[in-house]
Amino acid sequence: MKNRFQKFLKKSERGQAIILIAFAIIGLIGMVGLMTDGGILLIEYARLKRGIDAASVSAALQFRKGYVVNDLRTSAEEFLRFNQADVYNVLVETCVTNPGDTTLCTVPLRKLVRITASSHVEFGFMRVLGIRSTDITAASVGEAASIDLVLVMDTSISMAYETSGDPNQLDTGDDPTACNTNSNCQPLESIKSVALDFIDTMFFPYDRVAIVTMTGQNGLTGTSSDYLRNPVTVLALEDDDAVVRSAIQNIKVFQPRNCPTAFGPCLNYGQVAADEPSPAVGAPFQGQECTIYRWGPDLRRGYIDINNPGSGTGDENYDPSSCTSSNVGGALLLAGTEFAREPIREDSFWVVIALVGGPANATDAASGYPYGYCPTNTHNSPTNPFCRDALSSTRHTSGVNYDADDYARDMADFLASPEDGQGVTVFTIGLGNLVRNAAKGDADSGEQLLTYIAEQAGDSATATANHGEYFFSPDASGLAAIFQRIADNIFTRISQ
Amino acid sequence: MKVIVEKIKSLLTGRRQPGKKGRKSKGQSLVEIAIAFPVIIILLSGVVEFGFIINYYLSLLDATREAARFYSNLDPFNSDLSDNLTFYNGAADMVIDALEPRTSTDTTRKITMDPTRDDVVVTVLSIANNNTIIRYPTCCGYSGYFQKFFNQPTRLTDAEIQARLVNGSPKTGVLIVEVFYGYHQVLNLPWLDPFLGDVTMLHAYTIMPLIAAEPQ
Repeated sequence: MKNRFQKFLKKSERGQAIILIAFAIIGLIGMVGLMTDGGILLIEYARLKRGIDAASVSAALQFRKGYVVNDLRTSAEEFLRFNQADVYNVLVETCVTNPGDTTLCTVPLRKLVRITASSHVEFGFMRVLGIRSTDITAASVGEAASIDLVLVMDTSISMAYETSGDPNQLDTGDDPTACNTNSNCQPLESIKSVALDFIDTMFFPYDRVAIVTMTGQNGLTGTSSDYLRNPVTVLALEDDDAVVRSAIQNIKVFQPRNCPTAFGPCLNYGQVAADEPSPAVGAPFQGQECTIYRWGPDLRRGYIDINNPGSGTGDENYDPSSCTSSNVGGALLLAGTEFAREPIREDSFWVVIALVGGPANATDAASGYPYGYCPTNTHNSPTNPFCRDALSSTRHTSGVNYDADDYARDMADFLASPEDGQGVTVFTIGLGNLVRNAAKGDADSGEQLLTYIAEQAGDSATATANHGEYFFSPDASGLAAIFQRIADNIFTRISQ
Repeated sequence: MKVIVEKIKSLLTGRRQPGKKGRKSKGQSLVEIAIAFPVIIILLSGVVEFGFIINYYLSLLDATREAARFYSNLDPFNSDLSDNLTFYNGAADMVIDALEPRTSTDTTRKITMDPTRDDVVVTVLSIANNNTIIRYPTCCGYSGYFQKFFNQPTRLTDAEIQARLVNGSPKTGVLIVEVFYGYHQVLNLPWLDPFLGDVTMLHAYTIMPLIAAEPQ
């Protein structure tokens, strides 16, 4: 047998190469299989990954208030099918389904969804080597951004104008002391109602809300006139629905002390004697006044010039800087700093909604400006309104003409700039006639400012801010639709 | 292996292999290899060309994925709810830029689109709970899909999308980015023409959720 085989080997060189090639061809097919089936595997994995990415984003977008896990699953499966990922074992996980998962359960909580799916890939050439198929698995975590929202509310006395009489001016029935107590200040109460509806769209505790009012909220209990009229953060970023609602319900119209007990704005009641500006007890509300502007620093007509004490020349000083209270810039500054409050959520969508009833005419105090920036050419000027020049288009960066409008724009830049600011998206709402019909200077000064804040602030030559939008409503009846549009707009920006 | 090397050596040098003497086997190996060699060459060149196709296809797929993912966060509508063509142009340009990076220092392989043949198609769908599909853009001469070069229609028709819907899934907005690229053979070998032709139209796409297009 052995001899015959050796004989055969000796004799038959014919066809030797063919035999060798026949063996080599198996290896060759294996190589080809590695190339082609490997390529197919890469394509299938790319498809699976593409499908998983789309599915995780889609599922995360269903992570809404009142969601059910099945919505997340069907939404994910649909996008897997859209992308031709032929998968099985689709696994949908959130912090609710996996309470101990450190990836999904973060502090503070985030809207994270993980999708995992597997795909079965059949081979062609690799079968020659005995490898018929393989399974590939991919996972992706999608997130719908949580929202950090700061609501900036104008609480100046114009928020009581619609309580009685002419809706465009202060009437005796608009006394904030009374309407704050009775909770019937208009349009403030309507605004609060719309704001509460808006809060319904938030998903607590994933979302957080803070509230900044443009004037102090302490009213008669305050001790400092500056504190009374300056913006305050009435609620730091909060993830408890009930606390946010309570804070909104407690917002009040600016309510300074009665005249003439302090500098700055005050509430004026009854006839004031010519030489002794004391309010008559129980007298009807006359409106909001500013004693320092009317009477000089000692509140008496014809006594001391604040710039020339002892001159006895009377009330030449008409510096209104302690009287004005539309500190738009100060409110935006407070809103911007709120995002730096611990715990900072850099992955969340930062948004400010500012509801403002008129142009800016006040700023925060600064060195040399105890009541804020207020250029002298705006003091009792026939053309310039209080504390801002007539033309909104005139922008100053510093100097004696730096005014309340400039300050508001600078603070808006700080809020919106993605480079050297907070990178916040700002929506502004102009409410009431004063926004478009200011008595002095540009009639639409308020509208120009609010448009800038929402749609231009923070832009530079190298970066564009993530802008919001400006809306106008002549009265509170249009606010519900505006807030709905803002809610929709915010919702379009939360996938990541 | 050693045997094959010896065979090739003997072929190249014209000398017989050591130990070979029979007249009958003279030239036999040459004939055998001559028969097998073209098959191997066709096979190997086909594999290399196939590798190139896969490489191009994956690049196209990546480009559509990148554009679809980025634009899935943006809004295809203006504030008056009309079509925002900047959105569609931007998505198409992003695909083109991803395939052909324009940085001067980048020396990696670039895939250049041919405006007379290739195309990028961007479509936005609004799919309601009852699976009704509304397509965008519809303005400016577009009939439910945006074409960058007006060469190729979308391959993802309503019927195709309907077939992939999952029953009971929530209403959704959808962004589809498709790319059509005419692939020329890189090796340009004539014997591959019957398999690949002069130009093979590659089609890759990505479908992403687009919340801005979700029905209200």
